[in-house]
Amino acid sequence: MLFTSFYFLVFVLITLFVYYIVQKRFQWIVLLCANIYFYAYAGLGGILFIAATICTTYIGARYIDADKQKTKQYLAQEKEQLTKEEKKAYKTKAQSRQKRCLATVLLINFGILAVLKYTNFIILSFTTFQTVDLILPMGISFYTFQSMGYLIDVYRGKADAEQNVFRFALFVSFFPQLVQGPINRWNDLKETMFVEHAFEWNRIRSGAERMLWGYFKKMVIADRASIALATITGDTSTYYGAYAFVGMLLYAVELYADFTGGIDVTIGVAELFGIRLAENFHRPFFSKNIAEYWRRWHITLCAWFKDYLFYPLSMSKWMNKTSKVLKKRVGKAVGSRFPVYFSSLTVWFVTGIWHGASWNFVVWGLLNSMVMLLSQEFKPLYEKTNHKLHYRNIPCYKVFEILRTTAIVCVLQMLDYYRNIAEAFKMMASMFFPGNYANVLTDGIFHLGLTMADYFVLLMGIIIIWCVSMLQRKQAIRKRLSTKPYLRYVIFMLLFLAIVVFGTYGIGYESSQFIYNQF
Amino acid sequence: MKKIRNGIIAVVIPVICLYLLQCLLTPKYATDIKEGAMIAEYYNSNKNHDVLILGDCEVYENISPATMWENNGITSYIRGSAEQLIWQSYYLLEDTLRYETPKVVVLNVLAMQQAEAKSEAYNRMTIDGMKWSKAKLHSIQESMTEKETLSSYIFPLLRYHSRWSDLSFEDVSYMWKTPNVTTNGYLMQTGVRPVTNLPKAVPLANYQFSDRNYEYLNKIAQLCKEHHIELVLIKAPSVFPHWYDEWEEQIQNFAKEQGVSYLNLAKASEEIGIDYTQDTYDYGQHMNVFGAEKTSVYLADILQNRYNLQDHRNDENKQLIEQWNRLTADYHMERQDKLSQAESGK
Amino acid sequence: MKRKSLVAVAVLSASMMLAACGNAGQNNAGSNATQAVAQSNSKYYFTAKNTDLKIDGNLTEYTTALGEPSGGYYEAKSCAFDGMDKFYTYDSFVLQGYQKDGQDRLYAITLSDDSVKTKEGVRIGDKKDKVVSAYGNEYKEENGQLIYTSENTSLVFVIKGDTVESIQYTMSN
Repeated sequence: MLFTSFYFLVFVLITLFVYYIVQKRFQWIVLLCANIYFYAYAGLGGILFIAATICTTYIGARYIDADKQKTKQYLAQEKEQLTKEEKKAYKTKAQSRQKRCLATVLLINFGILAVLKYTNFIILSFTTFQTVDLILPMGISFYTFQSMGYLIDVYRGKADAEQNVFRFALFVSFFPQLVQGPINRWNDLKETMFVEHAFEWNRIRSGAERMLWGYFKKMVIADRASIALATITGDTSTYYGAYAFVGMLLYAVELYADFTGGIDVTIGVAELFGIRLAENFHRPFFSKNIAEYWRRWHITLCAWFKDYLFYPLSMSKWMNKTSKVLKKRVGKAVGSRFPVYFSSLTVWFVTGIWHGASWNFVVWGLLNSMVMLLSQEFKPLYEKTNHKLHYRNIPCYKVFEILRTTAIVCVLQMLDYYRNIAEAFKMMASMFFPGNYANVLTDGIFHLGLTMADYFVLLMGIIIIWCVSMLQRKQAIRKRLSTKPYLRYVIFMLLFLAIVVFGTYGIGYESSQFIYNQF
Repeated sequence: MKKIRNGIIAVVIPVICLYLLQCLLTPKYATDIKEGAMIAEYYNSNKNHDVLILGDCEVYENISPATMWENNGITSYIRGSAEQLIWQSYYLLEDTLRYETPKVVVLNVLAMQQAEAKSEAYNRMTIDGMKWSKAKLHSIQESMTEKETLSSYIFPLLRYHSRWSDLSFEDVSYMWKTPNVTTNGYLMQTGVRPVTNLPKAVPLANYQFSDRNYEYLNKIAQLCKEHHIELVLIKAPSVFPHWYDEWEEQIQNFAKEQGVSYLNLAKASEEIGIDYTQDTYDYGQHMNVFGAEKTSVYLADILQNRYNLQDHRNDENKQLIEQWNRLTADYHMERQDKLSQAESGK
Repeated sequence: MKRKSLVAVAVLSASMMLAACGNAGQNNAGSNATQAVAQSNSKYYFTAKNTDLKIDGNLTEYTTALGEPSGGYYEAKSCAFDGMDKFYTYDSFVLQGYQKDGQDRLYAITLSDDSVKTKEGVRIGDKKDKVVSAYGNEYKEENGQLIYTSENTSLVFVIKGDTVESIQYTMSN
């Protein structure tokens, strides 16, 4: 079900209606039923896989949790009888039991994800066999990450294992976040997901406003930009140089509007039900360097990788040992850098491949990582020069930093949409040859499927997003508007009318899927 | 209380805005692609016609109600539209019967060979103009092509919203009411492009009309019987596209089985007096005004003789006569204008 | 506007796309996507006067190369819209064109007698077996037609009894 389809809105309305008329203690069951329907609508095959994830994670978490309780109880009971060594031995044994359980469940679930998502990639990359037809259950990358995060939290003692499998199922399958995230943490979500919600007009209004803003970005801006981008990427022998440059900008706009818009709709829908989801963006294009960008873009995914992969890896015993050995044998510089380098590159390799089962994403991830590592290496140098020249105090320097970051992000993103690595690099290079710029910018861009009027709408949309971002720096827009109900009404009504008129939907415009659906 | 009032206002304002936008953005078809305006135009007419003519461009360009009045005093109306499909004709008949019951229904059979709706644009031009009724709903359901949605017929704004960048002065000036573009459904063409040669007819793999088309042709015949209306099938005069003998045979058989008349006017071209060097505006595919008038004279004579249609020119209803006289006067004015324009254009 | 609706049966649709008053026409409400022209790589094309006639190719070039059509030129405008279908009748075949993005393109080639044959050597009047031995078993059979499709081109043989009655190259969809 596309978020932009008429059918989705009807589905949400019906669910909402039932949600608020049933007894409050049944509200979460209504949501669970809605999830099942939503999932089944996308294909019955997928349900088996998500059910497998739910069951294995649930059982694993229960087992680990029970074992923890048992251990604690036993130790408390036998406090007097056991020696210190015996206690320690018992603890270690229990821990390794739990670890085995954790590992098994992780293996099963990441195994499913790997097989379904990466089999054909491996076949194509390393063998000469025919590819196989595999179903890719909707949102598998998202719900697998979310449930594994939960399991690890239980293992670490940071979260309690949920007793009721159906409640846990709701957490994994919550329909608004299923298709494109954000990836939520159990501890955050359970606070609003399982409590009783009385109908509140303000909440509905607020959720609807957030959805409208999301639809505006998705339908007016992202889908419009995607028309021209499709033309540009469709034929690289014609559309290079200035076209590649225009395409690069269009993709940045499209991806931003598409993804943040989609998340706005997600968060808005959840808000209708009184459920608070994690924010996924924090004005990413105001970042001063790539590392900061990745703390502000797709926040929940990056945080997931940081908490569940980067730290465990960089601080593991093995890493410690290796680092020590390297320090001794190769040198201090290498040994002390190794954990961070190795972990970063691993995380970004995985991040890349998480985005798509092809090499272009791997290269994209690794390049991102390399930029960050390099800038870290150069940091002392920057500090030194700054100390002498004090250029950081120049007012425009911040703007320069922001533009620099944006440029790097944009260029690297070319690997996203030119799925062929060589082609992507060729197109990157072609942008630096000024051959067709004059021609393209005055005439060529009007033959990409967009008219002058469309570009005007795009530009207005971008300006609106930019203004909103600027205003957000001080205080959330909706909070500011809350004291001015009439102004708020007018703004959101105009937004609604703008979507109806300028939205890229219906015959003539094919509504494209949210980009992050496929991940 | 105040809250409820505010709530209602908050809902009503956007609804009004949407309605206004819809009126503005829906195509008016007043000066360009006039074919789109024809179906709606019927509702402005006086709805007291003896003859209702249904079909595609082969009726609305080939038959002139004004001529049928002048020569025989027959009152007629053409509910034709571009590429009107058989089921669309049926639902237009159902729709028309909500307002009046004609004595004779004439249906052009060319559409029998078209099994599927091919183009959304043609669907729109035939259906959008209909007033809401069950007939319209059914017509939509039968006609929709792959990507069309019922919701966009209910709220045309969902379909036409992208016209915001093509808006013209016409959209504003005809926002509430569009001018008539036809004379009782006849769209006048005055150009002359003679037939010089024709592409050969290509043998077809399958000449059989589709089951659905037969089903609707039967329904048309049935509905006419129920309302004691005489049904007359015609094949309008044209030399292209090719009308295959196998098709002709099927129509003849149908007419025989159902006991309805069938007139192949294409075969009667000589009798009608059609001169394909003078009477067609597009190499023999459709008639121009000269050909249409000749065809109308011929058809009106047959209809009057066969079905005893009243000559209303001597009617006691003076209003009716006046109304038709006005209509024919307008018709001649338009004819004169267009012909002199064409003359000066030469 | 795409001529997607013409997917169905090739010969049937080609001759009928005008039948009910014109082709699919152009969309009055404004369609946005203009796609880049993809060069046809179909293995099915017809050769006359040393000119390879490919479906969706530039019709103006072809007719210039072939010269004045002996059987004349015919054009059929679609109802209400600007679309136009053009017919060039040569001695033994007819070229049918349509307009896309303001350019005349080849929509179909119909062989009209047995004095010409396809590149693979089949002509009107040949037996069905000969078609199959020349083109293989990968065909779709519909209403007594054998349809071979490669890329954008369908090659259609109308078979009556056991004999080829008509041969047409046409756009597949």
